Amino acid sequence: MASKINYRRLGEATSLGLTLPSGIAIGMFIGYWLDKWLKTEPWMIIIWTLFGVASGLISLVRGLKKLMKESETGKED
Amino acid sequence: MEGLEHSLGIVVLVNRLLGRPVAALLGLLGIEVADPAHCIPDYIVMVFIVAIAMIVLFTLAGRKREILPGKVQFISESVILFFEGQIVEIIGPAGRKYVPMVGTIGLFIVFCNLLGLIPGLMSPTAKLNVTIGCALSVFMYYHWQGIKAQGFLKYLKHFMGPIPAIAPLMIPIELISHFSRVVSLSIRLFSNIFAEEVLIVVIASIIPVFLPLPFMALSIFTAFLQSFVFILLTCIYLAGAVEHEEELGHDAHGPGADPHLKEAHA
Repeated sequence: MASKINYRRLGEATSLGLTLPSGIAIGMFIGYWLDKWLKTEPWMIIIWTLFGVASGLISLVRGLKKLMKESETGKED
Repeated sequence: MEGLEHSLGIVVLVNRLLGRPVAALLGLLGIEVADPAHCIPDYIVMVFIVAIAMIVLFTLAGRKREILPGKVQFISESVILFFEGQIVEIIGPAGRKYVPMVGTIGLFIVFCNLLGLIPGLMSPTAKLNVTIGCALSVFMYYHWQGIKAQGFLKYLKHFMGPIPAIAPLMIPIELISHFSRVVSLSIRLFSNIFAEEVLIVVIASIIPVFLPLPFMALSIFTAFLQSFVFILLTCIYLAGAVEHEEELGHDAHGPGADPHLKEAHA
């Protein structure tokens, strides 16, 4: 049982590493695409990259909070 | 890139048998194929091998069902029970209806990852196309289930965040975070399997005898771990899509998330 929980937490922890860069990448991609579409050369990519950074950070913090909460309750049990 | 790799025997065989008919079929759909003799890429062949192997294996396992299970039935039942246990642990007993999808994706990825260990074959998951396909099907599936469970408008409302005033700010952020799930799911699986295959090739090119063995053992571990992570995240996303209301109830003091955020930053 203990090893199973460990694997689960390991999986969740390895998933955290990619959330920040992939959020930024998706934001940049959407911005680039909107720039091409709306012909608003630098603006959309700047705004959406900032959105991407925010979104990556938020999902990273969310995941970390969940992981930390789980590990705390795991210790108490 | 494709010119650099030497083709696997079975891929050449399949292309020789089916390449021209497939090219003709694609031609009917208006897609021009540059080289009709090599139009089927290797990962498609491998995916079909996995699919056929899974269909044959599990059809045989499910054909003779007994109360006292034999070996094959016991193994396949415990595999299904494993998936069910994971889902029940994360989503709850109501999540049992998602076992078919999650189990299929998980088994498909396990088989794909393990296929690379057989000489003469490769892991289809070492190509980004296959993993993006898996991640996109998971993405669509969990959104569909979320809409089904909560209704369209209610589901969309979740994207607006806890406070209506900052909804214009939250919608792009939530949108990006949902799309980035596809990217992180697919890239994680792809990079792990690809790196493992490259590692084995590099080690085998240094000393081809015995030295690759520990790395191949490690790659068995990676194969299982990565597919486990994939289905784990699928379950977490499903849980997040289906049972938002309770979660919202938990985070009812939604602005209370902000001090935590600052705490985490400090």
